[in-house]
Amino acid sequence: MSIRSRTFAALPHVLALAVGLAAAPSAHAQDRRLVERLDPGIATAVLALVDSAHALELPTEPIVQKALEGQSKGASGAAIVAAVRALIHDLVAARTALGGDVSADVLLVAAAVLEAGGTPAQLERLRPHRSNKAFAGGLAGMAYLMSRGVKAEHSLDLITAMMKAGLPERAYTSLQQLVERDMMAGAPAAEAATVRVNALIRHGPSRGPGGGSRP
Amino acid sequence: MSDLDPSLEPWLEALRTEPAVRPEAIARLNAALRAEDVRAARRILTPPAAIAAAVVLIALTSAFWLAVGRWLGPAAPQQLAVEADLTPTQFVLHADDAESVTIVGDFNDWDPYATPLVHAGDGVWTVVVRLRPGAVRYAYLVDGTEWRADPRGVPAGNDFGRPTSVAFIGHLEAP
Repeated sequence: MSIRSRTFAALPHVLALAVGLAAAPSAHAQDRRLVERLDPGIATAVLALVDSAHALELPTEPIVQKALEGQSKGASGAAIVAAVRALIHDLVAARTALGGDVSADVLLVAAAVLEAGGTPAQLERLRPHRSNKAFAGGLAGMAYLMSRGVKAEHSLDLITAMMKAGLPERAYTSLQQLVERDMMAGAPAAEAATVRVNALIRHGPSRGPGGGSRP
Repeated sequence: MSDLDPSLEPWLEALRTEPAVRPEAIARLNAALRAEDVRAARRILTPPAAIAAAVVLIALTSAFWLAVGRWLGPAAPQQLAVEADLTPTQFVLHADDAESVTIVGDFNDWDPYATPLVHAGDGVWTVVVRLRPGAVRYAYLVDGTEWRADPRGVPAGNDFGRPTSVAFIGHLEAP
C-alpha cells in the first residue's frame, strides 16, 4: 500500500476518533445541573450512574433530583452516591416486579412503595392490575398508607380491593384526605384506612376534581 | 517484414532482445516514485490540516451536544409536561417565628431560593405550585437553614439526615 493510500485509509480513523472524543459524554452526562452544583468527583460518579440508568432504560430525572436533593441538604458525596444507587436499585426492582412496559410515572410511584417498606413480591401481586387506569394512583395510595404506618400487607390488601372494584384515581386521593381527617380526629391509621376503603368500594368517591389542592 | 533489406536483420534482432535490467536503476526509480507519493499525500492532508479538521469537528459536535444538553436541562421536565396536565397545589406551613420560608423539591431542582412562600399573616405561609401528576418529594426550608417536613403532608423518611415529605398528585379527572 502506498503512503497516499495509507493516508487516505487513516483519515476515517482520525475523524472517527474526533467524533468519539466529542460525543463521548452522552446527552445525560451533559446535565449542567449536576456539573454546576456537585463537586467534580461526585458529579462524575453521579453522571456515570445516570448514564447507567439511561442504558437500563430507567427514568433518569428522579435520579438527578435525588442527587440535587442531597446537594441542597448538604449531604456528603458518599451519601449522595449511595442514595442514587439505592434509588436505581429500587427502580430496577419495581420494573422487574411490574413488568418492563409500565410507564415512568408508575415506576416512580412503585419505587416510592419500596422506599416506604414494601417488597418486590408485594408489588408483583399488583401486576395483574397494571392495565387499570388508576394503577399509578393505587400505588400512590399504597405508598401513602404505608407512610402513615399501615402495614405493607394490609395496605396491599386494601389497595387490591379498590383496584378490583375499578375505582377511579380520585378515589385514592379521597382515601388520603379522609384518612388524614380521621387521624387528626384521633383514629389509628390502619383502622381509618379499612373503614374508608370499605366505604369507597360501597359508595364510590365523591365526585369532584381528582387533583388535590393540598398535598 | 520479408521486404526488408537483409543487412538490417542484425539490427532488428538486437531490438527484439530485451535489455538487461540494472538493479540500481530500479532502486532509483522506486525512490523517486515514493518521494512523489509523499509529496502528493502532504498536499492532500498535511498533519496540521488533519488536526485542524479534527478540532473543528470536535467543536461542532460539542456545540451540538451543548445545545442538546441545554434543551434537556433544567427546563426539560416542565417543557415535557403538558400544560393541561399540571395541577395547582397549595402548600401551607405554620411558622410563627420565621422570617422567610421556601419550598424545595423535585419540581424546582431542590433550589432553596426558587419558590418562596408568602406570609399570609398570623404565622401562616403559603404558595401554590403547579405540579405534574405523580409523586413529588419536597421539604420546607425556614430562614434558609432549618429543614422541616410538611406537618400536613406524607412523611417520606429522613433522606440525607433532613426531613422530606411526599405528595401524590393525581391526574385531573372530569367530574
